Amino acid sequence: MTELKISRQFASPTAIQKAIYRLSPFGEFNVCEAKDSFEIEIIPLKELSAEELKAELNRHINDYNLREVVADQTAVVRGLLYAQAFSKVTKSVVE
Amino acid sequence: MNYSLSKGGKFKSSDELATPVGDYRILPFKFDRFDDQRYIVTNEVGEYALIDNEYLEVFVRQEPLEPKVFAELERIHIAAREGDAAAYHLLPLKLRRKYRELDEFTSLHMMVVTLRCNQACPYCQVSRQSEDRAKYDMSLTDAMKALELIYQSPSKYIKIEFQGGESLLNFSLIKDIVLEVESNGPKDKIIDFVAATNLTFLNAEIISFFGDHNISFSTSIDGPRDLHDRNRPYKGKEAFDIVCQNIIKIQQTLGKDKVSALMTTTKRSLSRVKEIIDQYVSLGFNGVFLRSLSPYGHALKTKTYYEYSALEWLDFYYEGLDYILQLNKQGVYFEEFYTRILAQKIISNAPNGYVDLQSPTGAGTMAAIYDYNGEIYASDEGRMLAQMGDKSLQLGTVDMTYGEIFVSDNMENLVYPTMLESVPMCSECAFMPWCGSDPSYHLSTQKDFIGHKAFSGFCHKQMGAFRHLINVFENRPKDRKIIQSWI
Repeated sequence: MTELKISRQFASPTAIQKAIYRLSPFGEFNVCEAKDSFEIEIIPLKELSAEELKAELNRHINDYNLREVVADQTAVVRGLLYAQAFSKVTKSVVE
Repeated sequence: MNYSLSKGGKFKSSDELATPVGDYRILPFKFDRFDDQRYIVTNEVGEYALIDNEYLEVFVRQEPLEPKVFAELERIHIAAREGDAAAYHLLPLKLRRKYRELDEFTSLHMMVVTLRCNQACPYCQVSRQSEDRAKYDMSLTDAMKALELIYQSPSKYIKIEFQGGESLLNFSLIKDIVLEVESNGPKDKIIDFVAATNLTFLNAEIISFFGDHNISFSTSIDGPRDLHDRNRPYKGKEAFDIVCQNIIKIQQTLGKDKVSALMTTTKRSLSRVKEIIDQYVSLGFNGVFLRSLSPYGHALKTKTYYEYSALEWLDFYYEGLDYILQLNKQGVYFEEFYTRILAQKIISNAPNGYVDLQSPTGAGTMAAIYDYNGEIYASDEGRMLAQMGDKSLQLGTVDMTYGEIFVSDNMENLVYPTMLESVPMCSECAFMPWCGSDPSYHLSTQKDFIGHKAFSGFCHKQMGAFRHLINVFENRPKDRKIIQSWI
């Protein structure tokens, strides 16, 4: 059985969910939550071996963790950019 | 950067240029693995950069970055030095430009003047009716009601496209519609006409009318004779010669710009892309759209749609594009239209009017179709799905008001889920700013407007095409220049 064990310190549940979502054509994944970690059983379906799929899963989890950091850091700025972009539309409609 | 000598400025010292940049902010961006060594990063409007894997985490943690890497990220406004506000002014302007087309709303209006057809193409997306069944013609009353709705579109520029079946089988209604628009249509709008036709019959009256009223022809050529005729059976005869003769007739009488052609890729086409392109060149066309089969109508019934995978189509596309670029280098100006659309999205954030790759969906917001029976759908594919029993994309009928059709629950239910910013996988995809939604495709293949993108052939094709183009832009400067000349 191929398993990926990942500390809660390094992966959020959402990041794991999204990584699994993305890799779902290639395998089945059974996630078990332990106190300090996640243990993910990996069952390959096609194209990739179990070890290759494990490496891909690890990579995608890491990437989705980074995306969460980016989203947290830039959420306010993003809102401001869109507000600035489309505020004149609102203004012209009101006028 | 302080480099204006005339104003007493100075160049940065070599020490400054070599010093990692540590004091900066990050702005919103998306990223994806591009290859084993690099990530692709994009900003909110699709400007992109490629950075080595090791630098992404450094950047996200806002640790000191190599000046060259920082410069790349600063160029696309995802990194800004403290106190530098340029990005905060430029990005909103670019966002407004990117979404400018939404203001215009529906500009393409397709009218299905008849469902009758004189061909029997196995991959046809329409459930066609045989030639003699006139009850499948659009009535004059419904046509006039459709025009009244079309006139209410906010868009200044309107294109009315006559569709079928075979649209010229109801030429009399086409004439009625065109003359009505010219006599009583709104004078503050510019309305163009195009007729989608298989060009298996054409007479002097049609050519003359089309010439007098500036109507264009859009036809289909699937490739050389055997490929075309195999795909498009015509009454036991071969249609190819007839169609080619008619194309030439139109070009000589009305001008080359008055007839365009589309091809559809079947399994038989996959190994013959160069021959297909050569056929288009020989007919005097200045480009081809290497499009894949769609999962509707007869293409599903005859299982033609399932004949090849997204990967097989991508190989076909890569080979075709390479061949076209080679032709250009040999002095033959010839475009690949799908590439042009994608390149325009990558290189500039200007809207390009391509209905099938928009977020939110172009179905309804950019195009609508008025079926022969007076029903209105958000897209041509939507009416094809209706013929298969699924009316999810119906917006209403010509007996309803404009508001009831275009500002309706059905419209809202279509627009909301097709904004990629809220779709799983898409919302965080680096290619999202260039991509779009195809609710008809996903409804047909996954029974859902959004679909699970990891299983989506549409997504696989798009990502493959985007990656390929970025590779061309980065590694093949001559080819990049050719593609840019098409935009």
